[in-house]
Amino acid sequence: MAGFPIDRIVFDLATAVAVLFAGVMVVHHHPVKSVLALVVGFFALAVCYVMLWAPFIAAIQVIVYGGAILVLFLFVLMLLNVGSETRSAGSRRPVQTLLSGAALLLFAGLLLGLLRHGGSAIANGSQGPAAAEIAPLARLLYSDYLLPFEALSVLLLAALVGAFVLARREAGP
Amino acid sequence: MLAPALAVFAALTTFAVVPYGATLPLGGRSVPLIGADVSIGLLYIFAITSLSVYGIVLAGWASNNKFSLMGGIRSSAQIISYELAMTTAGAGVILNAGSFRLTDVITSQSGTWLGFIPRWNVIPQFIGFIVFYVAAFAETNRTPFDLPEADAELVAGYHTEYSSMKFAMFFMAEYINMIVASAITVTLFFGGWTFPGFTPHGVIGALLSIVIFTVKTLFFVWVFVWVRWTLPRFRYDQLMNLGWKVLLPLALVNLFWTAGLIAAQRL
Repeated sequence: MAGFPIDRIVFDLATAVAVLFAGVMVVHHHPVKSVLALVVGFFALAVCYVMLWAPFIAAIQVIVYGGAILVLFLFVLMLLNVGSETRSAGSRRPVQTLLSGAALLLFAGLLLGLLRHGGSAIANGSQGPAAAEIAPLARLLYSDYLLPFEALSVLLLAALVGAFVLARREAGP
Repeated sequence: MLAPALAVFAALTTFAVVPYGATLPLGGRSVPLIGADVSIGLLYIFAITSLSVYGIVLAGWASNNKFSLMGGIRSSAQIISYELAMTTAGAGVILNAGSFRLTDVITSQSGTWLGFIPRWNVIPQFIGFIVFYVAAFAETNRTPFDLPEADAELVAGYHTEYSSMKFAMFFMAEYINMIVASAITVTLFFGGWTFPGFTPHGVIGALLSIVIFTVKTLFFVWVFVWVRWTLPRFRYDQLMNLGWKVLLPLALVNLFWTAGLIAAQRL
């Protein structure tokens, strides 16, 4: 990356957008707007993947998360016509405070670790255009990582059957 | 304001990876006639078309009007259902070409069988072509599948509350989508800019290849308009039945058939 590091700037901008909109998603009161913020965050994440020479992951990210799952979220939210949520002030249980404190600690730890090994994610990711090809990835997925791959698909199938059982109407008399 | 812009954006950017001609020699350089020859060409197309639904859903929701909202909800369910069939039908082509790169898809379809039958994907994968094209109708909201705007029930569906340029942008998006869907169908199943017995030489050859591509694309655009004035609109349950119980199994049959053909060739 000699000279003007345009790809570094694009990457940093995309990460900033992703983090910003993830925050908006958590904080926003209106569920539909939260989902839309999540869409923007996922799209920014896809840009990050492209900048790390992983266009396949980026495309899958946009197709699966951006194009299918979040559209489904929107569909359900609009079908139920959910309005702005109402929040009760105070009356926080100690468990909640404890959990959020633990999450904050974990986040701080991760941030410290990342700062210490600064920029190593990008350094490992920039393997150039050779890493952007799909065929080697597919070969790995269907040889060395075949077992986890198949186990995941069985897990998804089980989740599908479980959802069907839960959503099924009880048979009438 | 965001919704029509999103619709047009998704429609326009899809064309970036579609090769529309052979390589053009120009002043000592050769210019490939394609926006960006990326290694994930077809996946890119599916990714962007899956984003096009946001334009319609957002328009339906932001209008704060029950007819518009109904249109938006219908659209999201319809596009999710038909995307599966479309992607599975496209996977057959990818199997045959062995690459997501659309220039490779076209190269795999050049040449002929027995000297006069073009090696287009439509001949071994006719089922795949039908499924893909029907799903393309659903993805572009053209008539037998235009439930999101169904004028008879929903006034005008998702664009009821839009007027002037914003309305025009929705219509531009719809017609651009028609052209892009035709161009992708031509690229995947009808050999793109190739034609049996035609090998592009020099500038004239490159220009001729653009003409071939345009004529093929315009034929499918014509079919889009033809079907619009021929078929009535589906009912909602018919739409869902067709998508999940007919097109998706047919697309899977096509996938297995193509895989079987490739395995038979390697024996």
